[in-house]
Amino acid sequence: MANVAQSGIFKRRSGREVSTGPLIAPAVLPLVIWAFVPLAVTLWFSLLHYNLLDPITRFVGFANYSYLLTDPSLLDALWNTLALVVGVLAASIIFGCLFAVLFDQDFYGRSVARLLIIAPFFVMPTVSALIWKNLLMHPVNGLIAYIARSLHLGVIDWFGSWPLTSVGIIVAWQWVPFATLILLTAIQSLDREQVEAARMDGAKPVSMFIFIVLPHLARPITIVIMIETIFLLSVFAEILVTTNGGPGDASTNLTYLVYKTALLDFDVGGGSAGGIVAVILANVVALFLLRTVARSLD
Amino acid sequence: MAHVEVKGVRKAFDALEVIKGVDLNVKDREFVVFVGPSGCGKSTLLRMIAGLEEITAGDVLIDGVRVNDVPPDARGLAMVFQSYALYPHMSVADNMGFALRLAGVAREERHTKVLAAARILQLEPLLERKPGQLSGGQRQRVAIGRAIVRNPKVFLFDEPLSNLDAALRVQMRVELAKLHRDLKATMIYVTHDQVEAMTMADRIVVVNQGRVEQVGSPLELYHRPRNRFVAGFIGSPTVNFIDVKAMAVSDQGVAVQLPGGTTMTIPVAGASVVSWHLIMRMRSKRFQMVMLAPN
Amino acid sequence: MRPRTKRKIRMTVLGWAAALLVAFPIFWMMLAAFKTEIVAVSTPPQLFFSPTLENFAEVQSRGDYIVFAGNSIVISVSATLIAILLALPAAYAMAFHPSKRTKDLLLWMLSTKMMPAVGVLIPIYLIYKGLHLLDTIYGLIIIYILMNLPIVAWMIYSFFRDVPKEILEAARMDGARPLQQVTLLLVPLALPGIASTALLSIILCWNEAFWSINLTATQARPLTAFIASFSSPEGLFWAKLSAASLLAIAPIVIFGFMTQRQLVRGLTFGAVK
Repeated sequence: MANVAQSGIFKRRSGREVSTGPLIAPAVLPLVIWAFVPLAVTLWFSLLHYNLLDPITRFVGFANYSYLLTDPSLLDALWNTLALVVGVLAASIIFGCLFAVLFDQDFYGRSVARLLIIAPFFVMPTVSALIWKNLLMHPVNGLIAYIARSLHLGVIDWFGSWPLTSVGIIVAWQWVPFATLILLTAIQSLDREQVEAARMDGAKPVSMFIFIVLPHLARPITIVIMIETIFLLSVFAEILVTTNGGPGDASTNLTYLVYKTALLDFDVGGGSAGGIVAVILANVVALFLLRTVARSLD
Repeated sequence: MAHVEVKGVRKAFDALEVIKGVDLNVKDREFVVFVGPSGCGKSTLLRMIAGLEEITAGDVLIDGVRVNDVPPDARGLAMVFQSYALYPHMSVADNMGFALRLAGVAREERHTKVLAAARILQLEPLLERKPGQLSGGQRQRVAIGRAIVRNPKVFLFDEPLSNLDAALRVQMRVELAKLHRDLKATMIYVTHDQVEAMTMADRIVVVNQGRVEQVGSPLELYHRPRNRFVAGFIGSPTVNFIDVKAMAVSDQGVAVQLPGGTTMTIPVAGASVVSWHLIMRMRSKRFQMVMLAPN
Repeated sequence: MRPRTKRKIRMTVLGWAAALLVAFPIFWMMLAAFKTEIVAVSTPPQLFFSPTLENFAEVQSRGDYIVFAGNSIVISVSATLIAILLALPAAYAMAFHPSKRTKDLLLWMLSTKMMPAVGVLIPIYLIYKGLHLLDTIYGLIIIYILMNLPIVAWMIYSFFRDVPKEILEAARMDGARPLQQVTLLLVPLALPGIASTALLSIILCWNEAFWSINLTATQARPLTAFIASFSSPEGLFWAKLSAASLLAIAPIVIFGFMTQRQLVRGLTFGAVK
């Protein structure tokens, strides 16, 4: 593939290459500062005993980490984070695939229906959380409670009894449309002739899905998983607005834990240590994601 | 006067050498065709003359002036691209007048020149349309018109007809030949289709793997190919080759042994050909024995 | 009825059932926005009622709502514009003067987006406190520029690469200098892509709910934080809240509809097209 850079079109009259440094710097320099400086500071803070309520700040090495790693709150938070991510991912992929296949079919009013099924992704997380909390899940005035009562089923105190699940439902409601959008776009790039060949070979809808569609979707699904994971690790607003991490630590994830520790308990040292743990976790996922993106850049 | 000279030109992309030392002489008002299989380097050669590719070694001269470091638009050339490369957001008239606009030519003069070029190619009714509204053939003519407006010394064509259907291609070949006569311009034309080369060219340059195999008029290449590649490339249908072994040379000609054992004497003037392998060539209509240098 | 039509009808039912079910919460909120407060909290919940615009009137008359909405607008648009300005030359350089390290550079830029905000919450908070950037529009704008720069640069880069190289070569042959090629050809041809990049950036800034909550209090508070403040039941006026929320999400949902396709490219970092 001929390389534009090596062709003569973007050279100055003198024939020398246009220097790219000053063109790239305005975008890259701020990012460099953004990527390294605050993180370095967090790292430094994590090695200190630093509390905004405590006048003394001193170096304590890994004490914050050892405390953190034995703190049941952290273990709960990690577990909750994992549960939330896995749960929402599962919902996203399962429903995302189903909806993508569904919306790939031709039906009346499809384009409008498609807008409806994608809409939740664009709703502000705080608004989503409040809609679910007040209008739907509220044990007294919520719609779900009303329906349950009409059917003589017990009313569920969503945020009291199932806090993490409730948060999960809200988050899933926002991210299933994302997965649907991505997977629908991917399905529409499936070669129609392959589908027709399969039909000639006698493939019924289910086999068609398993043997033709799913393999084609394997890579987009992987992408969706990785991207959602990155964002799901930092779920915050939905928790803040509904349960504040409670009851107890039941719906606290890692992000919320750090927030609580740093901004509510004013424990900068401990919060920083937690932040570093979150960064390490995210980096692991990021590594895989970047490799997949790198392949698509070629 | 517009003659182009290529002297010892080489082109390398990193470690890969794609043009391996080419020497050419395109005379004023000649229609020269670069022909060869895909990937042989003919387009690269054209683009080096155009100034769109850097010349790794060697020189390109236009009218005796070395143009290696001269930017493409200052070389007095105009190029018609394979995909036409029209500006999608501009009208046909603006497309054709773009170069003049960049050169600061006044609108009146631009309009006159564009109109003149449009007349030659029957593009007048299309002047206000955008490329997206034109057919393939029409777009191609706009691309040619864009080149004509610049009144270049040399026209460069990079496989301009490959994207057209067969009937249109034949028609355009005739039109291009007529254009060449009317404009009296030097034209360098790249194609992989040897039929195009044979029907349009004053001289043909056969390119293979970065080297020039032979340069000559169509008939020269047809009757006196210098090597097996040229013999096999030029002429339709393709030639049949028979490998024979030269046995002896005498007054009557060269005695050769055919595969299978039979020997025959071919009335060809042979020098010291005793230990060469000759290739006998047969055109399906005529049986022609040609002595070729061993490859 | 032909089997194909039967199938289409079946799909219509399924498709619309799924769509209505998923979008239902938004509908429900839309309905609540037009109810009076009493009707909004009544049991049984009413599907049919006489709509009123009083909630919207009240929301719009509240000076602070206007301020918060204004903040959201100013922050989103400013951050987007500046991010695009910074990204344009970089995208151009990477698309048309690529070097061996271009790909690595792009990947590294994307990786900065994957850093969890929590990891730098504390330093940013303290630094902003020291620089008096807390609760200012500028503070948020800076963060949003840095957050969106990778995606914006990446998207513009990919739209630049979509422009056929031969068009730019033709312009070169016609005598266009690099700057002229950019202004007369590249930008006009890449403009739709740049527009959708801008819309995506605005969407991401508008909906961002971590920094906007933690770094603002009263002055620079955008809509996300404003709505978050209604999480506790006191002073809860559901109908008005619904009206306010509806106004807050409507423009973004519309933007989202407009940029669906390009969004996929941007949000998957180009891995899905």
